[in-house]
Amino acid sequence: MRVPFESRALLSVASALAPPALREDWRREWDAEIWWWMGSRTGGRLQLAAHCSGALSDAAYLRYTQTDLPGSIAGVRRSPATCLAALGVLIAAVVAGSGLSETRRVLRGEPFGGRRIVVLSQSLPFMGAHYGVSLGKLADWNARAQSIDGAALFVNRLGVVYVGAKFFEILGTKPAWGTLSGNGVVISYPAWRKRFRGAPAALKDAGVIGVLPHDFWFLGERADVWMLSVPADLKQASAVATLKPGFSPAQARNELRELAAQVRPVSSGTAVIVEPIVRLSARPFTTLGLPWLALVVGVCVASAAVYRRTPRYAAYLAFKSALALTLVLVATIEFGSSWMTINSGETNLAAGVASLWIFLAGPAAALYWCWRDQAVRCRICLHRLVMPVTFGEGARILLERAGTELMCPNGHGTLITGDGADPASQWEPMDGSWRELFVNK
Amino acid sequence: MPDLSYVSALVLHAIASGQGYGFQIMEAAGLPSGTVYPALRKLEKANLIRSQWEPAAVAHAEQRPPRRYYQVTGDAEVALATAGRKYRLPEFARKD
Repeated sequence: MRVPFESRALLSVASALAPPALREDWRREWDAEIWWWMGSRTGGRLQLAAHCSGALSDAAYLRYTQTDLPGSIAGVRRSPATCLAALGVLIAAVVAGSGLSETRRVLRGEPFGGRRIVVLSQSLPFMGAHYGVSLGKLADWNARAQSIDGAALFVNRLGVVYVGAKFFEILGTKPAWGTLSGNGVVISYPAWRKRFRGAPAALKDAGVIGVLPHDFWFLGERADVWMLSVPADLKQASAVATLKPGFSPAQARNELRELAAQVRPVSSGTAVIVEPIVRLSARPFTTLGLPWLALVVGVCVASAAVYRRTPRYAAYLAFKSALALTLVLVATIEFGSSWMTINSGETNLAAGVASLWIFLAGPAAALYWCWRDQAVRCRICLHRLVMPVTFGEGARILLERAGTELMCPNGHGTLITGDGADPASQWEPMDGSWRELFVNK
Repeated sequence: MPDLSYVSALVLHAIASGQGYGFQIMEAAGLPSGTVYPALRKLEKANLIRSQWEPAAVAHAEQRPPRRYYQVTGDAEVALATAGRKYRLPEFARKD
């Protein structure tokens, strides 16, 4: 007699819930039960599934009454699968929370498609940090450069982005409402929906001339207010421009450098940057992707080398580290890409510091956590060790050891972690004579 | 002696009337599996019933899986008498 899929699934779930020591008997009894039900009843699949759902409450009752529930939960917490599952859940949460919008945007080449847009800026003689181009230089390039067309500046000041008149035209942005050219205030689509409830009449009263489209994206900039004007005290800013047909970014860079040198000698080490906007928007991937790969490979190689006698232990460390690094990578790309694209305008060292912080601190914290977690796991079954017992006092003992002794919950061995001047750890396998104590674990 | 609930008393009464295994008890008591089985575990833990697997050869001869049979213990009589004063338990046709 073949039990339908849904009833078998219910029995399997219930079986997993039943206490391991009673599981075999429990399953035999329920198999006989189902067999008898199917032979004597004429009900359909739903009735059988309802009957099988009783197995869930039966198993739950047994689990609750026959086992040490807190002990079982602690056992699950200590298991190696739980750690990996927790990392998997965190990655899934990041994916669900972000919808992988940044990743999908870069993969689709949005939103600039076939446009040949470049971002103009300069780099400092030290550290390579980007900063803006002087407004006089921009005006000169606009007037004389043959390789670019219509450079429009942009600069973020206290959450308001000031842009040149042709900025949105160069990006090819179509307004959701009103116009994106002229002089005035443009607001983002979310701000329009949230503050003006999507009503155009209220915008006119507030002096807003246009609304950006809902899918507008510019290098991770999340400002709500965009001013089509230039602040009176602005000295320098980055700019966007269209690359004319037949010119490459490198040719444009050479031309702009020459034009700049004709007006005023350029300080040594200062470089004109002409970077395609598509490359800038993919910067989080290019910046983080390779280091991520290098770190994953490095951890795999190091784990295999250090723990070559316990390959399962080494593989677990490598896999866990790869998952943790992937979590950092995905979270940084999805939530931190606006810090990693470009500083928008005047010198903004915070952008560099923030991205550097994520770039270094994220993987470092992830790897440190993996190493700490791994250090207190059994070399055989990979469960977290239990029953820490401290011995000795590091500051008072000269020739003896001081530290903490931990034990594998399944009786595979003990770990003595050194203290103070003796930080080395020592794993001592337990022989078969100890197994009796752990039979019911 | 534990104070039995109506469901436990009904299940115990069914077993005392000779309903020997899970499905038979469910049929007699008219209760769903999710109620009968936890009640059986509870009664077994309270030592009012005990269970035993039938010999595999018997089940094999009848071409069916082996059954787990339940029987009342000596303590069950007192518990049932107490429950009988508390609840109105139905009469089951005796199977033994």
